[in-house]
Amino acid sequence: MQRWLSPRALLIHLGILIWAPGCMAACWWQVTVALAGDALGWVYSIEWPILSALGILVWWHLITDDPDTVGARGLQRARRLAMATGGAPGGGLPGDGQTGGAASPGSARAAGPGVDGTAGGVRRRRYEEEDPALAAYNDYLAALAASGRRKTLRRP
Amino acid sequence: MSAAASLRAYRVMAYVVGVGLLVLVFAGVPLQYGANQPAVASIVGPIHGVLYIIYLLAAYNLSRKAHFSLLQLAAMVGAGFVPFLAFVVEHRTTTRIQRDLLAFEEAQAAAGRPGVTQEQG
Repeated sequence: MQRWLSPRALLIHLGILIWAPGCMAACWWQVTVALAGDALGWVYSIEWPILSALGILVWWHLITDDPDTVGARGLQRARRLAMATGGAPGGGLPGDGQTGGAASPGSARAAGPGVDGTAGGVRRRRYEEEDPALAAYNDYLAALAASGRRKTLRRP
Repeated sequence: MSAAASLRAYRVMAYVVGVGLLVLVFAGVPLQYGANQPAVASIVGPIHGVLYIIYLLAAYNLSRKAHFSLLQLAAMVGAGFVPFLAFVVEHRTTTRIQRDLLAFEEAQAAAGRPGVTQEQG
């Protein structure tokens, strides 16, 4: 239920509640224009419902997609995987047996999405099937890679 | 469609819609309501409407591949009816994607892994 009622989701609901009826109202307005004699109105009265439907498609994607695989967060995660792993994400387990030191922070993060009880769609399952040890290993290697970067005040 | 092809499609449509909107707002509307000559608005108007729908499809396709935030999505939608916004958003989007996504895809390809632009899930 969290994915339907989070602040982000409520913002998206508000958006579609304005967009979809707004487009349909504009459609009706153009029908009245067309009936008043301006044939151009018929073109617009077809275009507005398409915009309305497109909005509903986007709304559905934004709500049901797993936020950990899409959007800015998904990119961050994919980049971290690419930076850290030697093997394909989800295939094999390069860090098997080496995760001892890094397992505690990593597994705490990996447990996060699983414990909130929002598992539902197919997309979600893919992320949850990922081995916590692999996620921990990725975090460990990402930390290693980050430690090689230039020191700053924020990252001494 | 690869990320680069999606970006090209989006850029073309952003320029077409951006120019179309300028013609509509700065020529079509003044002529229709100022000089009572609706010819430009009645031709460019519906064409802009259809192109805007194609633009939205291209922009949404790109946004799913390039992991856009809600704000970027809203800016892309608004580019269809706020004059000049299309050019600003197009420039920022292209800069960002050329820096981020394409470099990331190259790194993935170099490592022999599928990139994020391939189907997920």
